[in-house]
Parts: sequence; structure tokens; C-alpha cells
Amino acid sequence: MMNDLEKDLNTALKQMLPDDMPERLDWKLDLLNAEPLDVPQAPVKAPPRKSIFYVLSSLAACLVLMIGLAGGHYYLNNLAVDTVVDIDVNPSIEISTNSHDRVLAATPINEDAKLILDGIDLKNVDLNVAVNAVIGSMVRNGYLTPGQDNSILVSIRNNSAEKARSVRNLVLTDLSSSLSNNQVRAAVLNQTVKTGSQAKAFAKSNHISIGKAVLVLNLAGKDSSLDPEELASMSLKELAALVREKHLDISDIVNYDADDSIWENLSEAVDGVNENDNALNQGLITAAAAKKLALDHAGIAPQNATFIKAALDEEDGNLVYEVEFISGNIEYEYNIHAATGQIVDMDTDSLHTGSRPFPQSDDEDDDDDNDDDDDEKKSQRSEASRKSTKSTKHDDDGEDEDD
Amino acid sequence: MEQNTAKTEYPKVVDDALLARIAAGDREAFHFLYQAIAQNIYGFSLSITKNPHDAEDVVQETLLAVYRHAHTYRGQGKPMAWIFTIARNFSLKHLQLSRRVDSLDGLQDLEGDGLSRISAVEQRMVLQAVLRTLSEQEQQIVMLHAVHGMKNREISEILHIPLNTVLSKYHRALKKLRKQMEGAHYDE
Repeated sequence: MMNDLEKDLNTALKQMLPDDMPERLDWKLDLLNAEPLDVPQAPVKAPPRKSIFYVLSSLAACLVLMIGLAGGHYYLNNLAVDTVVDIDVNPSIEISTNSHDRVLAATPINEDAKLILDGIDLKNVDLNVAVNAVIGSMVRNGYLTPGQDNSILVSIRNNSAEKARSVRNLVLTDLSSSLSNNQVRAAVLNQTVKTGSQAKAFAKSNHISIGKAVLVLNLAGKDSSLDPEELASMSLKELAALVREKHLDISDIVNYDADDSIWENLSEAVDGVNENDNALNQGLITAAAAKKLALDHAGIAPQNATFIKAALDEEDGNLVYEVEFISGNIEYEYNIHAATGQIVDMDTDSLHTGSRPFPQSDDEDDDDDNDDDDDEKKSQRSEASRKSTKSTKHDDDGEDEDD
Repeated sequence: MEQNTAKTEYPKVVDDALLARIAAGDREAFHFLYQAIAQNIYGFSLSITKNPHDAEDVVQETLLAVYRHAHTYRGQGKPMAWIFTIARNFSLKHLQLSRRVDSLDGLQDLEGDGLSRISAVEQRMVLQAVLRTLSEQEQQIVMLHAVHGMKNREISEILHIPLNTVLSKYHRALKKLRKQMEGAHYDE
């Protein structure tokens, strides 16, 4: 059944996967099993481990000091900044760590942050201890309030994507257990950022962390009415409120994880699939696929169309998707066979004059989708339109579209 | 529920019974699933995200999602369509994230030393040929076709394209690949 080419392809792909992937998955499954499924806020790490970390980290700090006194290269090696973690609430704190995730310095970026770090020496402690201490201090100083909705931005800066991700997972885990120990509910935004970030100058002149600067600039790019400097002066909580109020979709600029980092995302992706389950099970195409067929037929890029409707209906004993959308001044109506994807019927209406300016009326039932070259053009076209729209969401699945 | 029929049998295919075992928390079944299709999820995701790191993440996220949500699966004999639709969703999500300003994602250059993990030259060439000469949709069809036991009908469902198109595009993609690989040991 499988030809040589496919066998080679499979072998090649297998080698691209990291050897330790099965162990990593096992480890995650262990975590998952230890966690009650229906309680998303359960801390991933058991609190008693913290105290062991304290002991270990102070031991480790002593060791580092001793070796350093002996003049070893080890110490020098451990002085180099590897990763920077920015934590923004309103206080903006920059924590730089060495390659072993031990804190080299914790720097207050604004006045609020000075208060948070006052009297706390985080040098040489493990990153998780530092995160815990910072969160604790923010709660004590009233920047994070138990029983209210809080918002935190965590930005990981490292030029290695792999390292940035592993530090991110570490920090998010620590953060989630620290928040839950302090009985604080918070939406945690997180992102990974290159070290040579373009946002550096903007961050400096506005006294915010580079991580917050990246978020603010991206946000301002979404909506031209937003002034980046004004955004920079807002707390994360205010920013979150603004995003809600303006109905901005920020899923493409920052990872947004309320409460529990990994599992919420998982559910989201699977829910999307299950919504389509009914259609899939009956051997029907999905509403999103029907929308795409209609757009392709009309030759209209998704970002230029406003959907009115995409719903299953019965017509002459056949299940069809009724798809309606507006582009320019023209309203398009399509009936698409839900099993075959064929365009059964289509109509256009000018919103102003009532005339029918649709240019390809002689081409209506031509779309059987078996024409390869035609398909090729279509996929190129939609690919091109996707590339050309940086901030507009092109969503093949259409789970969150306006129907 | 379907456990009774499945538990004595060692899994050989990815089917509804396997998913039922995974839903019941059977790690052995989960490992089998990993061995059977992890590389295909990776390849499929690579064709969408064009980024090895993202594809790696998608493999992990997809398999964890399958483990966690297997009990919600009502696929009536189409587990592959279910799993790969999840993989597609995750891949699209990564694609969106990678368009952020200053994002690290997408930094990794596949053409550079990205493929150096593959030891045999011919195998590396096949993957290279797939990524270089095929359109995105052709890549996806070929990657899915290389999944053991995947039916064309399932591929058509996952990619939302008609069965005929899957077949014709698959054969055309193979032709392109063979042409590209001429000189290697592949014969018609």
C-alpha cells in the first residue's frame, strides 16, 4: 500500500522528532493525571517542594560562591545573562537569569516596581523562587488583589526559541501555583521575544519593560485609534479591560491563558473540532468549508467579506448550506450542497441599485472542484490573501466568525 | 464501554477501539498511537506552519489533546480525521502566533541545518523535495497519505476538498516528486 517514497518520508519525519518526545509526553500525562480534570486552578506543583527549592538554591548559591572564590571558569560562565523574564502588572520588573535559570539581577523598570522589590534580594536564587517572591510582594502591596480579576504579562526574552519556550513553561507553572497559593485569580498573557527587540527604544522612553513595549506596539498595530504611548502608561488590568471593551482579538499577538496555561488551550482546539463533529459524522462539509467555497467562487478574499449567514438548511430534500455575505456594495447568496460541496445556486444583489453586477454569471455551475488547475489558482489566491493580511484573521475554520 | 472487546487485543491499527482504550487512560495504547502517527502529525503540521519548532509543539499538543479528549470522540470509524483535524487547528493557531511582531517563532530556518537530524541522504532528499517542490495542499495530501491506514476519504474530510481532487492531486504530487528525485532509486 505504502510506496518507497512514503516509507522514506516517514523515516525522515521520524528522525525530525526529538528523541525525548515520548518521555516529555509521559511527563505531561503524569501531570495531567495528578491534576483533577474539572478543577482548572489546581496548582501543578505541590507547595512543600518550594521549601526544598529554597534550601537547594541557598546551597547552590554557596557552592557558586565557593567555586567563584577559587577562581574557576564555572563562576564566570554562570554570570552571563541567558534569559530575561519581564513581569508586568503595573509594576514592571525585569529578571535576568543565567543559563541555569538562576537570577543574576531583578531590576525595577518603573516606580511601582521599586516598591515591589524593596528589601527583597533575589540575586542567585532560582527563577521559580524569584517569581514566587515577586508575586507575593505584589499581593502584599495591593497590585494583585485576591477575589478580583487581575492581569499579568510575562515575556520571555531569549534568542533560542527552544530555551525561551522551556523557560516560559517553567515560569507559567510557578506563576500559576504562586497565584493559587495567594488565592489570586489572574489572566496571564505570555509571549516569547527576541533579545534584539525593535521595541527597545520605545520601552526605554516610556519606562516600561521590553515585553510590555512589544505587546503595546502590537496592540496599537491592531487599531489605529490606539496611541502606543497612552497604552504604555496603562496597567495590564486597564489594557485587558480595553481589549475587552474594543472587542480586539489578541490571540495572534500574545498567548492568552486564563488560570491554567496548557489545558485551556487544548480544550479550545478540541472544542472547535467537536463543533464540527456532527457535520463530519454525517459526511458533510463544515460551515467554514462552505464559506470558503463561496468566497473562492466569488473570487473574494476573506478579509473583504462580512458574513451574514452560513447555516444548514433543507432544500428539495437535500441538505445545503445557505451562505450569505457582503463585499463592497454587493450581497452574495450561495446554496452549497452540504455533502458534495457543489454550488447548487447563487445570486447577487447590489445593495444600492438592485441591479446584478456579478461578473461571472455564465460561470455559475462550473465549480465542480475537479479542475486541478482551477484549484491551484484558488489555493494560491487564498494563500496570497492570507499573507497580505497581517492583522486580519484568516480563519479557515471560522469558529469565531460573525455568523 | 468498548473496553471489553479491546482490552485483550494488542493494538495494531489506529481505530475507534484504540481511542476507547486511550480514553480509559491506557498508556500502552497511547504509546502505540505515538509510534504510529507522531511523525505524520509532524509532517502535516510542518506543511502548514513551515516551522520545525511549531510542528514539534503541534505533535505534543495534538497527542495530549487526544489523550485528554478521547472520551468525547464520536467519530464512527474515522479516528484519523478527528486527530488530524485537531492537528490542523493547532497548526493554524501556531501560524497565527508566528505572525506577531518580534516573534521568535518562524526564526528557525528549515533549509539551513534544520534537516540535519535526518541521517540518510535519500530520506533527507525526499523531505526536502516535498517541502520545496510541492504546493502547500499537495504537501498536506502527501503527508497524510504517508500515514499508515489513512483513507483517501478521510484525507478529503480533513482538508475539506473533494475525493477526486485528493486522488488527482496525490498522483500529480507523486509525479513531481519522482521527477525531482530522478537519479535516486525510485522507479515507477
